[in-house]
Amino acid sequence: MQQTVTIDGRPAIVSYLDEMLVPVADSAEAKLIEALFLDAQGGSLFLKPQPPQAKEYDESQHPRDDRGRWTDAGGVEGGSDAGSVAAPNAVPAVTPTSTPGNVPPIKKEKSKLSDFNKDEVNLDRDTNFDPKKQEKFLKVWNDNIDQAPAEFRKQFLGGLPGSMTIRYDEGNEEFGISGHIHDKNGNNIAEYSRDIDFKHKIASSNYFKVLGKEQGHGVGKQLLAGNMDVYRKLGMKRVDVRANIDVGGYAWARYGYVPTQSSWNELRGYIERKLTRPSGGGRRPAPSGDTYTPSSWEELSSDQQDDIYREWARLSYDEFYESEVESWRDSGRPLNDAKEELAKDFDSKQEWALDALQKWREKRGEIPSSDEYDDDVPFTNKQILDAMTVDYSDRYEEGRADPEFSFDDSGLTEPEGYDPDQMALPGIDLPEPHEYLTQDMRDEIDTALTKAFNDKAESDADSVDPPNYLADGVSDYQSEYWDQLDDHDRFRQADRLGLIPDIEIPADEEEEQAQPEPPQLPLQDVGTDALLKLTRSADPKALWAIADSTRGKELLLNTGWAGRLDLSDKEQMARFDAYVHKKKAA
Amino acid sequence: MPTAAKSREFFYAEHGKPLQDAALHDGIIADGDQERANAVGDAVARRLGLTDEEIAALKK
Repeated sequence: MQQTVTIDGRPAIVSYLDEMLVPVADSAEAKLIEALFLDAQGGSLFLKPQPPQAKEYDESQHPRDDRGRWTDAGGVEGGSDAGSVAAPNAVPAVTPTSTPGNVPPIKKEKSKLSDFNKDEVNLDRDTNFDPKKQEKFLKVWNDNIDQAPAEFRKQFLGGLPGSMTIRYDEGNEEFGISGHIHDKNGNNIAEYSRDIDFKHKIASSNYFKVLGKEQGHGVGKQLLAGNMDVYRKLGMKRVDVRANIDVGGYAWARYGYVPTQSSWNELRGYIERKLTRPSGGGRRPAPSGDTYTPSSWEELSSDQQDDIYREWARLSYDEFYESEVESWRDSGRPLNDAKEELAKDFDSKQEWALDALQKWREKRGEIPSSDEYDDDVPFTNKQILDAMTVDYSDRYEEGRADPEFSFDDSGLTEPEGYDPDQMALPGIDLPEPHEYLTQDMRDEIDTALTKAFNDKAESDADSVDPPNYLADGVSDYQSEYWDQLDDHDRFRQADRLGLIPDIEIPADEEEEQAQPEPPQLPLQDVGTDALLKLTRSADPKALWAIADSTRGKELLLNTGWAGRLDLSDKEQMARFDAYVHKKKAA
Repeated sequence: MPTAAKSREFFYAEHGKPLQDAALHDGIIADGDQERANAVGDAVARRLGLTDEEIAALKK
């Protein structure tokens, strides 16, 4: 359970946790409350729930002024703010046990591998089954994170429900963290991938795709906020990002990211070129003197326009193709194909299935063993899988259906401890061999294999090759897209790709130009001059003032640059918090 | 699963169009505290030698 509240006037999200720091649905059952501050100061706070206070009203505890109004000390803090922690009906009364930014006072037990299994935070196969790598991973985890896997996932995803897989790169002491964000029905609505380099204290935001743009910004903002809270706690120095889609070049600058020096040097040259081209049909003399650079689509001949289209189509082909591939992935077809393939190949040799049963046994508290049975589950993993079949079908081919596992009891003939010659006592039937695998065990196996099947299919889906027909339609989509652009946008696209040609000035015009001309008024206004001044600064933070300007979005649209957010830089963090940690006004 | 080599942060795909991110960023920016962000940008601009008049002109 989570609530947005105010604590001492500061906005915060509080989560109600049990003694294992797992969220609870009922605040009355909470053993601990975690408050995550949303304002610029940031930080978090652990609070201990107090038993409900007596309801009797004690006037002496609520001093009033001479007009009968509560004084500052007498009213309920927060007044009518229903989200306030101090409001008596909102949440249990709480007592701070630490100050913001302090290490929580509870010393948690070190995480073990079984905690990841229990919390369903997946680890790469080597880390799961190679004891040496496992030991190193747990040391990095416990030295740096010291948090239960489920709690880490919750915080990292900003409280959003979702899955998490961690790939541990022991050489670089780096975690690759990826997974999906889910909606309330458990369907995937977004996909993410981040790297955390513990050695150099650098995090990278590699990949975040939403499957429906309508609610995407809310999910994206929450994920960014959660990521940043965790990076701050982990003492990361910086977060890297690559701005390379349409609005990103503008937006990341608004959020306080700054380009790397080489990116800035490239970007400011591009902005300067845009600024020095007059708008509204004016002409900018080209360096040769007898040509000029046009500033509108209409100034180009139809041959030049056709040339530009062909070149634009060539240069933007990959971008369109990638979009088709992503749309196809979003449709669930590759996931469906991967599930069908897994079901077709299912047998007792499948690593994912053997691993799932192994982890299931560990979860039951059995001693890990790859192929040995014990008293509790008297069949080997191989015996179990040999006696199972799986069916998979999804009528919509979206990959959302679960597989259906079933047991063939005739394959479960040799449980440990079964003696076919054993004599039965009169009136007591001996159990059949297959009855040694109880219904509870079968249900647990079904659950474990279903999860492993779906996880494996998701992982496989990423490597399913897109069908050839996706490429076949790209040229048509480009043509349709181009047809829908107006002349201004066509010119902008061409300009972005450096496709605007210099145009020769006709001879008669050249003669006219040779005549003495009256003095020209300055072409640039104060704002443009200021923008140019900013582009001439070597400081990449100059980009912020450009982005904040009225022309910022237009100038930075479709730009690509490598950026960084330095977590120790107050200016950068102030801008980041202004967008990502800003509490929306009620 | 995507890797660092396939670096695409914040985007969505729509059939027949290039990859896009506007709908994701526009909402975050619209909900943000523009005044606070602009104050930082203005301070940087001032430090880089822009006058108050020039800073004001950037916003016109």
